[in-house]
Amino acid sequence: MANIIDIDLYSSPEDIGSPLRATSLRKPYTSLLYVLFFLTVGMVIYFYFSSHEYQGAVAEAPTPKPLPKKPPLSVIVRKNLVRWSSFIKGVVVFNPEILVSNGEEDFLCYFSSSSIDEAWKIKDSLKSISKAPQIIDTATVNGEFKYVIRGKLKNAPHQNPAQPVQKFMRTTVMNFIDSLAAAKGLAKPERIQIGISNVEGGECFRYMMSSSGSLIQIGRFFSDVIKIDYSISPQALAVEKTDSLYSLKVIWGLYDFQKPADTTKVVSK
Amino acid sequence: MAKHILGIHISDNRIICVECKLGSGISANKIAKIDLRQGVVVNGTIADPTFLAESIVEMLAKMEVLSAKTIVNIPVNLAEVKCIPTEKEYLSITPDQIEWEMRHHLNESPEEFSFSAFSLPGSTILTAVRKQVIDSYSQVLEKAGLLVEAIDPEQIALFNLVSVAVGSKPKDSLAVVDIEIPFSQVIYFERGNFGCGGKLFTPPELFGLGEGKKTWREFGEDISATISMTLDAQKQLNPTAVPEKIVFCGRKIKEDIAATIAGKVGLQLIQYNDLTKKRVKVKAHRHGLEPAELSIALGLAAHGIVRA
Repeated sequence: MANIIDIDLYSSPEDIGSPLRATSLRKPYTSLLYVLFFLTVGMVIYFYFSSHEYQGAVAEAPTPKPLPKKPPLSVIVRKNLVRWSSFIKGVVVFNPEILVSNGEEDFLCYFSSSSIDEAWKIKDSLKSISKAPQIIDTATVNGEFKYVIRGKLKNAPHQNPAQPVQKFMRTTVMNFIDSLAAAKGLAKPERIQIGISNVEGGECFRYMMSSSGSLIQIGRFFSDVIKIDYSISPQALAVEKTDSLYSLKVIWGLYDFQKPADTTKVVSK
Repeated sequence: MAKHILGIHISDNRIICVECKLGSGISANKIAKIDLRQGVVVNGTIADPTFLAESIVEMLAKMEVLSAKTIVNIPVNLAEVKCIPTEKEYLSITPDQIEWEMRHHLNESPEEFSFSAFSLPGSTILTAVRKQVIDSYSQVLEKAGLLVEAIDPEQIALFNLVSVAVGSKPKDSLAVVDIEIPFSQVIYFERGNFGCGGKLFTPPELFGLGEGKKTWREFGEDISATISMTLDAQKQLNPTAVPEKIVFCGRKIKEDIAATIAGKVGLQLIQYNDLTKKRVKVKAHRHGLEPAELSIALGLAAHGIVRA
């Protein structure tokens, strides 16, 4: 083409608001909106059907997840006793000065040793009979290194649950325990009755047994206490060194519950 | 991506808008026309800008245009266009020099005008338009949401259209007569150079738009006289120029009148469609408009080839 005269009398600033521009670009915008709409619908359909993978599947109402079955009281009590028996039998080897427990799961041991290395060794050794032992406090008294270890009891294999301690059998069972303590060399135990409380699945009679003896004797006592075929379990426990001997204080719980039905019985017709 | 631009021709009685696709030529893809009631635009001066803007918005909404870039006309009676011989230093002419030069051609205070210039090989075109007029046209279009790419006097638009139509190596020299209401004009296209022509009043009654007693014969004589003056002036500027052809565009005049005028001025009459058929395409529905009536709007859009 020939020359085009480019007269420059006026031109709009580029940034003027242009309501028309939207009008003029209506078609592209509309097309874009249509594309976005179809994409959205497609995605919704895809996710909807991908959640119903099998053809003809019927949506089901979610069923409540069954709660873990709780073992009966007899099993819990036996498990607790065996666990304690196993722990005390093992811990007396390390010669703790004080052993305190809530009787259920947690324990605190107060040890005295000549060096920190020995403390670490004992802590590591405790791993074989307890879970996650930790040194939570230390002190040096009269040149000796004192430290406190906290941990949790380890489960131990146990046999069949023992029979319940019915009301009329309480004294008998307490006599069994006292006799066992005496047989293992502990001082004659003293009893203090605490009371009766209802627990889930039955009721619990509590009393405190106080005695004294050496750690070996205490260990033997706890080693054999599982041989008493009644549902007994320590509720709280304290072993403390006094002069040459150790005092033992145990709150025993004697459990009474409904005996489970014997499924081995055969009904004769 | 193809460039699109709007050419909007605002006159006293109507608005013509074309959306053109620009390339080596121009192609009008969309055309719209709106008739204006009397008093909206008076002798090129916008009297009711709000109504005019609303009319443009309405028209654009129907067109569904693809571009907001617009080139609009300045009526021939509101623009001063002068040609001076191009000299070497005019290629870098400064605004001060344009203003100084145009002072000699204006009878009014130059402070009220906007000036611009463009140098062709044979002549330099100086333009002056009142700032108030430019503001009124630009504000109407911007109010309608358009981006004003340029504002061109109708003389320039006509020249640009012919430049596109004749191609890269123009061999012809032709007088172009544009019949518009209220003012018609004549320009001279001399092998790619612009020749400024005269302007004359167009009796609207000849086109059924008003009352008056002018006849086609009288109007024809007026046109002949204006063409003669234009050619004489062009000879003063360039004595070697030899006019050859004449073409009519704008509102349609009777063929015998056109032939008579051409005969009087001694030029060969060519048809507008023949001139523009190669490089100016009109693909859209013309809404009853003759192709020649789109000439100013297409000429405005032609400016977009170097702007858009």
